[in-house]
Amino acid sequence: MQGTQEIALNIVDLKKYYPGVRALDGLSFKVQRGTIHGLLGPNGAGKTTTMKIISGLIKESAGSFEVNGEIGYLAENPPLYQDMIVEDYLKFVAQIFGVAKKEIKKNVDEIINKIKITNVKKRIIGNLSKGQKQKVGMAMALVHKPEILIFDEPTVGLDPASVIDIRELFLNLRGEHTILLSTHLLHEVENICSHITVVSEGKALLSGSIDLIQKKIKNEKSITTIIAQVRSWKKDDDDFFKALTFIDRVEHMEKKENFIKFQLNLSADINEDPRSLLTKYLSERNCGLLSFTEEEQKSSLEEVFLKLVNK
Amino acid sequence: MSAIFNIYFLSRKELKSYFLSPLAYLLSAFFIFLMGWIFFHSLLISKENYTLSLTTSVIRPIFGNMNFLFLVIAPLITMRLFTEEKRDHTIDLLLSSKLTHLQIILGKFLAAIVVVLFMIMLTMIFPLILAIAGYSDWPMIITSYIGSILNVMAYLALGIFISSLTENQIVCALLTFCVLIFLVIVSQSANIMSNFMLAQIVSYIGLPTHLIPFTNGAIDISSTVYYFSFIAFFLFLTHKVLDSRKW
Repeated sequence: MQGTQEIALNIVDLKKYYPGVRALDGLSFKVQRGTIHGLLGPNGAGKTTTMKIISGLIKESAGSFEVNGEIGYLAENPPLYQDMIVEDYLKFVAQIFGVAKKEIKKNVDEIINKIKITNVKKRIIGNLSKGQKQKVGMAMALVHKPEILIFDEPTVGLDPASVIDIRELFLNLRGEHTILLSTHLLHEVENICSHITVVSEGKALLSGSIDLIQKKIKNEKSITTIIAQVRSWKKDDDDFFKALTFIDRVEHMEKKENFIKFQLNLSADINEDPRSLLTKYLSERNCGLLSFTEEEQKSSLEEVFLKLVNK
Repeated sequence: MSAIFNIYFLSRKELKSYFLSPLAYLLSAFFIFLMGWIFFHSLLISKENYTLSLTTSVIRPIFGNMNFLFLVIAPLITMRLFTEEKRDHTIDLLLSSKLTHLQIILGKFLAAIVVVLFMIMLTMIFPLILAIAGYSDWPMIITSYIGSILNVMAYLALGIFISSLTENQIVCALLTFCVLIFLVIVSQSANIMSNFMLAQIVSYIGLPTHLIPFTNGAIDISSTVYYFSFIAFFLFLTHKVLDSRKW
């Protein structure tokens, strides 16, 4: 059991109803301090709603959440004043977030260096590129030094170079801050997050450390294909493998001169070694087994995600 | 203390934005050009009608026309206040900051007032010109200015409320203008009503009714109360609109 100090965000049975829509339907998950936590889900799953509730921009319909620390929130569209100069904008944000007067300049300079926007600090925000604007947005979220950072789809619509830049920034921020970021890009999650929560239709389908989830999913979903070449085939029976419960279906059958080649897709939950079971089964029926080839399908996060979400 | 600073930070940001864009300058130029023209006209008329005092033939028309011009200008000043924030999603930045809703509204209201005061200040040249010619009814001019400022503040409060309702600046300006025109015309229609009570009520609702005492050289308490309640009412409604974003 972790102490409350270890938990930065604790979301419990959060619900949000809009007229005719259940945006969140009992969402629960925890974010541990110092981790990068990915909120993963298709569009309309409730990621943005969750983040807005945590940031205090909208009110939940039911449920509760606990926030241990100040929050810096960067929405999908960074809230930038197009007619302001980057430096002035960051100063203004620091002011309205209550940073002490003598700290403001120090904080702003520090953030500008950290986010690497020194070259644009005197420019008008409206004239910046999308990638630069996104960075200014990140600086905005960081300028009052919050412990918890919440980023909504931070890399959407950016060119690959900017995406790499921003990913590096995330990795630099890790440890100092707790980061909750939403995304529907799986490789992003695999690259930078240590924990994920998969959200669909306002519910958390899975939540935990990314390694654990991948492992768990591999066990559940990995499909092994066995290609067996069977000699002295007598029966011309399609149901021959029916008795073997671990065989999901016979995908492919090829009759050669003196053997038959099967491709067998194994079902998800096998506890014993399928090879020995198959060998035993065939030898009992006097069908010699010539050879095996085995294919293991690695379940990527993408498949996991699609499988979970389409369930 | 920090509340005052918060309002100041936001007002300063708004003012920078007003005076960095051409809008404030264009409006000021347009305003002072028309006002100068009207002043010139009034002077010519007063020369013809020497039976009338300068107060009647110059000062009153000047202030009457100034308040009329602000019917058009005030909506153009307030139209961007919340519409732009909503369009650029910066409203979420303000709402998630340490600023309270009241501070946000007052900060913006104050900035709009400063822009209007800047414009009104330009018109002070007219009384000064008259003073050179020997005009000396200063209390009259001071109450007229106080009345006009209160009146235009009421326009701005309504404008801020309407800008909190829509994301479209043109819709906002047009709607503000329509409501203001209604509030002006309504006091005219009080004149043709046969029911005395109704006429009184309708006339009380109208904005110009409350400007008249000031341009007559008096600081009218009931009109001052009317203006302050008008302003408070629309700022309160704006507060409610901001609250409703959380729902």
